[in-house]
Amino acid sequence: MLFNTPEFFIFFAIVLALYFMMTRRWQNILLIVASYVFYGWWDSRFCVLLLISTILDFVCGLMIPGKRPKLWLWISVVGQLGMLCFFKYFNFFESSVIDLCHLFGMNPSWPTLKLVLPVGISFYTFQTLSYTIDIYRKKLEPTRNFAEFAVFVSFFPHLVAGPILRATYMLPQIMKDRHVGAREISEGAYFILVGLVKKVAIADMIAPLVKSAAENPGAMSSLQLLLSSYMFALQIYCDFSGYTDCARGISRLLGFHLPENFNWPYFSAGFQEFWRRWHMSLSFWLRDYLYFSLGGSRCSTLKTYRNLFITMLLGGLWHGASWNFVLWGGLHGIYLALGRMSGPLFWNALKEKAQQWKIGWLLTGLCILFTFHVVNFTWIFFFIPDFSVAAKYFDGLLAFTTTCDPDRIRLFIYALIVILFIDLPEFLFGSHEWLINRPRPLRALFYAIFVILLMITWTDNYEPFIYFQF
Amino acid sequence: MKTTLDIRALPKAALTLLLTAMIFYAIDFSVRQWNPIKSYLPWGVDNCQWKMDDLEAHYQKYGRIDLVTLGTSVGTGCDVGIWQRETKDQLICFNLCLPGFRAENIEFLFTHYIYPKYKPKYVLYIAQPRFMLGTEGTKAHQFVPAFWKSSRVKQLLAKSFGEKIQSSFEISSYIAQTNGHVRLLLTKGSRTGVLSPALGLKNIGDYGVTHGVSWNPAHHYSTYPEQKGTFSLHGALGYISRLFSWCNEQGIQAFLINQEQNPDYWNRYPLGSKDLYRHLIQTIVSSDKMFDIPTALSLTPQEFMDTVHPNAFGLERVYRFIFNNIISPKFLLSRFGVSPEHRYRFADDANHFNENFAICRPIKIKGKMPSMFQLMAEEDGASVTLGQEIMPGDYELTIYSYNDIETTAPKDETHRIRIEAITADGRTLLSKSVAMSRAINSDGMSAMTVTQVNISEPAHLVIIADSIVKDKQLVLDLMSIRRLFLPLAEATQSSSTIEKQTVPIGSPLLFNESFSTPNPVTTTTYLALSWNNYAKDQASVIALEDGNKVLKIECLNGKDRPPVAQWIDQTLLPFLTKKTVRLSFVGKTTTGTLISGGVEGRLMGTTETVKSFGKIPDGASPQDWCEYTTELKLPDKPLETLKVDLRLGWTPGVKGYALIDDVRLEVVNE
Repeated sequence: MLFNTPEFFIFFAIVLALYFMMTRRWQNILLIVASYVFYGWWDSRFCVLLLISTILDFVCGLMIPGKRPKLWLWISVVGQLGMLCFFKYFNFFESSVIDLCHLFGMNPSWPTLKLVLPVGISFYTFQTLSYTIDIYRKKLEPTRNFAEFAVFVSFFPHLVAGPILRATYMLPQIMKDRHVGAREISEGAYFILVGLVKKVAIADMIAPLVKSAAENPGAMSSLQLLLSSYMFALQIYCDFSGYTDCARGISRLLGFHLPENFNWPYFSAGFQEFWRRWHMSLSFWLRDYLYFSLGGSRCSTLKTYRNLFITMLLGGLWHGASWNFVLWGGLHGIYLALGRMSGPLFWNALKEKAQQWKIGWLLTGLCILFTFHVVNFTWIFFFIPDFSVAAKYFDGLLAFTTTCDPDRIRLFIYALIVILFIDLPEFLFGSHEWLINRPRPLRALFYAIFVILLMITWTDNYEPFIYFQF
Repeated sequence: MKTTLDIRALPKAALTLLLTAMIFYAIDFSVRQWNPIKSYLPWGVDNCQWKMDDLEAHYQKYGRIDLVTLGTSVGTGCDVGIWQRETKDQLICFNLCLPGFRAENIEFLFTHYIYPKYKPKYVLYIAQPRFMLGTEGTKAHQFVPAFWKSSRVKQLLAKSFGEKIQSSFEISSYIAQTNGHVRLLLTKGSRTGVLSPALGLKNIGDYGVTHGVSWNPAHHYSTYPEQKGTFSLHGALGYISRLFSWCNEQGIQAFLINQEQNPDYWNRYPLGSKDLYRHLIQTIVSSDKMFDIPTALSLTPQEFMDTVHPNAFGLERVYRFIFNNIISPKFLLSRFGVSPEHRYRFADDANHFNENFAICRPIKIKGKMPSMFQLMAEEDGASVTLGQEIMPGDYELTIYSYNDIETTAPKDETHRIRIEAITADGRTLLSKSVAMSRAINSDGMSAMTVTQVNISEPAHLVIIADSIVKDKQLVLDLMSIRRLFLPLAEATQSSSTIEKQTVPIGSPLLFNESFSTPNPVTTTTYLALSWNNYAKDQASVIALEDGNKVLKIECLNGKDRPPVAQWIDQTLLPFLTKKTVRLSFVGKTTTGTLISGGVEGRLMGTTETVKSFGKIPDGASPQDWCEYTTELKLPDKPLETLKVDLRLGWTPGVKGYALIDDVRLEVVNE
């Protein structure tokens, strides 16, 4: 079930109506049922996986504080990652091994499994893992209420594409009574509207042109390829942050607060900052549970770079079982390492000088532009799985031809205007909720514009969110 | 019980909602008052009514109309104003292209309204291959690579026309159907360029055109529901053909622009319309010397481009879209399915909203414009009344149904409708029960039903769901109401003769030029059969995995396709009495496959049929083409329908293929 479909609106209206009539305990039951219905909408078989994942970590969570904490942690980690690897990476590893055998002249034949990737498995696996690891690290007391834990794992607004919640953040909310007042309604409606506009009025609108460029870059001019890469940057941002906004809005209406997942990432002045603003829940998860586990930066400089690289490499692999994601993650690992390296070499001194000359703003602006473009061109590996096609894309970019189809320019300008209309005030006011505190007529004006945008662009061809595949 | 929802928040939320709605409608109202849209575009208009108003104003201003462009949205970017300016008003031009304009509407509008009133000398018809496709669903069009790999457009571009001109159905028949009046073929692709000289056409060659008023590129590939079916081939080409013939008989010089709609053109021909029109003018001028446009030739490309109006900017289109049509309670209701007929119109394609609406909107040309109506019903008695009064005469109603009845279902499981004609004072002039054709498959493919009615005095037509199959939904779309100018009785008494001809299917079945009828509409008709292409398309995928006796041919998009039944144009039927029609084709069959084919006619007003069927038997000719011929002598009574039916059969479990090519239908003189 997609947030941008009529089915979801009907589903959510029913859930909400029932929800407000119940006490907390029954609300939790309702949320579990609703979440499983929501999840089973794709494929009811996936619900079993979700249930197994929930039971496994609920039991492990209870056992970890007992006699053999490490063993139970390993059971949790192996169990969760095993499921993830099996469903997400088995095909990938298998085909990679076959390719490798072909490279050495061997022609292996063994039965292949055609596994279907369960929607959102990467998200809820990481989420439940954080629960057991936090218990192991004694940051969290395990819950003894299975229903509460099941709500935490399966909470439908964020189930399939995040944000990846921490138990320390979410469980306390589940354990207490919820309150939905004027503020929550305002914020919920605003987030849902903004999320839908990002998804429907921007991401889905530019998707066909991005796709055409990704599929046949050889037929495009440099300008078209450049615009297409910008458009993909916009598309993936609007698609994913649109989902997050919807998830946050829906949660607000249910009385929950979900953390931010995007914080105007394209305004980042460095790669470290970018990853603090982009898909924050994953970045912080990787930082807390992987990077720190590898030693983080509390080790030699070289090892720190290695840790950064490995973390991002695996972060790339998390996105998809494909070499292009590995490369994409690896490149970001290199950028982070280079960024870290540049500080003591020249960057700190340069910043200091810029401050002295009062051109710090200029330097920051240039850094934003630089960071955006590097991130932008690295996206090419993200959306083109075939390396030879990606190479063509870069070849085309460097051909410096300037012809361009008007549609592409129009849509790019359109998308840019709409996203700036949404994001610029948020960025300038420094808050995603800036509009909530404004006078009601101003809010109504924005809402009316959002509704108009949605009505223009809404079609019956509901595009799934990009991050559902992860 | 402590509730989660703070009730005190609701009035505040309601107030915000109310304010939002007020602003929403305030914007709508103010922009409607301002109405900047109509005057924005150089070629002017959004809907048919405005188009007509503007045409009238143009006519009033200049006293005549010399050239009109006809076509769909692909032609809306054609700024004919530039020709008028460049010729210093020697050539008074008007662009009548309407987005989503259906071929039958174009034909009807032109022949019955525009030409009689304005008498233009030249017609420029801007078509697009999408019209010729007809078999791809919306999804297929949207997934561009799959579409271009599998569709016949791809084949069209990939075929070597020089070698296989006979079997290159799409383009050769398309051109042939225009009865030799195509003077200009504008398309993209070198192979088409090869073809053009062979057909004696002027060809501009490798110049594409960007879609003039596109907003969302994804929508380029979406089609109307009826275009999923066989409508396009049967309908659009026929109407275009008819129009061209008609133009010819009126002495109007008609041009066809076949505008290739391949995504590549966006990339290869970014200058789009500017390039196109420059070359268009030059070609017309240099090849036909029709227009005295010396200044246009002397323009440098840059100068020319400077004079070309830019296409409607995307946001402007959004603007039109919002304020002209969207923000209305009717639309809002329709969005939630309150009004099925509106929902249908809007749901298909947001981009075509304006266009659909424009066409559907009741038009002031009373009794002239074909109307479109839709009926969705699940119970008997549901009805739809045609909004405009029909003048006395014989009419042909083309009705499409999108029902979910399998073709394999028992025959009594067929929806029936009743067509009534009700006068203004409430009298029922006519009550005709009609069985709807079976849907092509369960995936909403359309089936066409053509029926004729006689209206003796002005009346409204009402379509009533008469006998709906239980638990099935009836979805009807009345595509067109076309007046038959040659009453059937007169036609059957005509002393005219039909000379023997051999006409490939897909080309017009031409009658003797001296054949006299009261109206030229009946002098030329067409047969369009896409079978040979289907067969070729399917050759590699006919896996014969199904267990039925009759092969369901795998469609390009993986869906089953039933045997092809080609219905012969109704207007042809009166002339076929006592004639012999001969169906012939060549085929190849491997062991376990056979091809059967025949002609079947149903006599007017009865269930009695005459038919002739035969087959190329199992494994008769795996290597070489085997010829098959069957003849059917038609009786002295008028036919209500005549169809060519072709099937592939196979033995379950056997792998093989069957191919059909060169299907011809001949009228044989005694």
